[in-house]
Amino acid sequence: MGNRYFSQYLLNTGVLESSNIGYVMPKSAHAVPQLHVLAVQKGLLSETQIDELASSDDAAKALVDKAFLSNDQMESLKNENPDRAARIAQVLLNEKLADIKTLNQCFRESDPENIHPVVDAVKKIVSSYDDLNPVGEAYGKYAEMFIGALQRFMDTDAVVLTEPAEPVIEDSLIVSQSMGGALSVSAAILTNEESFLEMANRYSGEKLDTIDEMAEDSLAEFVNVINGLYIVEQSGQDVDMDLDTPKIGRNSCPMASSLVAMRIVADFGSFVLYLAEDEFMY
Amino acid sequence: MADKLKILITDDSKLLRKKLRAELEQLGCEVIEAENGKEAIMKDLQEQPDGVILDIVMPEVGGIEALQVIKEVNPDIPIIMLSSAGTSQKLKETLELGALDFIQKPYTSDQIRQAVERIRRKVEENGK
Repeated sequence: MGNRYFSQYLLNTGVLESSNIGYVMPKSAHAVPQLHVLAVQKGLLSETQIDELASSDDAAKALVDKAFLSNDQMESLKNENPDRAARIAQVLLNEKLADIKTLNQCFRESDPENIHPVVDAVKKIVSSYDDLNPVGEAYGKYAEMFIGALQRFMDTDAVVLTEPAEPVIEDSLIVSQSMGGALSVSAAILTNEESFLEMANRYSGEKLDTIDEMAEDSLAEFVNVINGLYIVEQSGQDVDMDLDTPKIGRNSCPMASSLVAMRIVADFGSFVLYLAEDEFMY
Repeated sequence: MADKLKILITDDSKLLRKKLRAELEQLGCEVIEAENGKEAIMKDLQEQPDGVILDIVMPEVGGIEALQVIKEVNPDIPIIMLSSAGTSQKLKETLELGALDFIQKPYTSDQIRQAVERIRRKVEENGK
C-alpha cells in the first residue's frame, strides 16, 4: 500500500523534507529511473550488493559490471513502466537528498498492505486540533482516496503536508460538496486560479484557457466522482449516504464544524483540501 | 425505429454532456440534451427519444424524480442511470423504478457502447 503513496511515506519519515517538496514533485513527474533504482525497488538485490552499489561512484554502471542481475532480470527491468515511487526515488538520488541504502529501507518498510502514510499524515494534522481526534481515521481514509484519485484522474503524484494549512483566499476558487445520510461529511478544494485551471485541464482532458463554465464543471465533476466513490465504499459497509450537488465560490474561506484544512502538494502546485462534518458556509 | 437511435442525455455538467455527446455520436446516435430532471421530462415528451441516459444528482428536479415521471408517462422507454451516486441503495431503488441499468461515474467508452446496445435491444423488443 505504502509504495503507492511512497512520496507521503518519505515525507512522514523525514527522508523528504517539506521544504524540498516544491521542486522534487514536478521533477519526479518526468524522472526516468535507472535500472539499479528499479532493481532496489523490486527487492532484487541483497543488502551486501546494495552496500557495494552505495560505495560505487556510478551505481548504474556497477550494477552491470558486477553482474548482480541475470540477463532476464535486466531485460525485464528495461521493459518496466516505472511508477511514481521509482521516479521520486530517482530524483532524491539525483539531488543527493537520499542514498540508495535509505531508499531500499523505505521501499521495504512502506510496502506492506497495512501501511497507510496518507492516513498517518492526516491523523497528525487532526491531532493538532482540539477535540477532533475521533474523526482522524475517517478523514485520513478520505484523504487517502483523494490522493489516489489525483493519481488516477489527474496523472499527478501528491502528498499531504503535515503542517496545518494556511489558506490564501485572494484570487481563489472553492469547490465543495456535502454528503449526508447515515454519516455526514463535506469536502472542499480551495485553490488559486492557476492551479484550478491546471486541475480542470487535467481532469477534463480539454484545453481550457480560462476559468469558464467548462472549467468549473470539470472540477465540480472531479469532486463529485471522488465523493461518489467514497459513498459507494461506505455503502459497502452498510453506511447509506447521499450526495448534494457541488457548489462553487470565489474568494471565500469555508466555515463548518469539525473543519480540518490540509495542504496538498501535487506536480503542478498546491491547494487546500477541507473536510468537515457538515455543509460548508461561504 | 429509425436507423439512428435518438438518445436524451441529462446531466447538469456541460462538460459531461459534451463528452457524452461525442461518445454517442461516434456510435451513430442522434443526441438531445437536458441539464436537469425537469428539462428531461419536457424533452422526453417533446422529442420522444428512443432512450434516456440520466444523472441522479442534479439541481431543481433530480434524476430519481425524473425517472419516476418519465416511466409513468412512457413505461417502455429504456433509461440508463449514469451517476457518481452508485450506492447499493440507489442501484436497487432505480432498478425497481424501471431503470434498465446503472453506470457508476467515471464511465468508460465500453460502458457507453454497451448501454447503447442495451437501449437498441430494448427498443427492438418493444417493436418501436
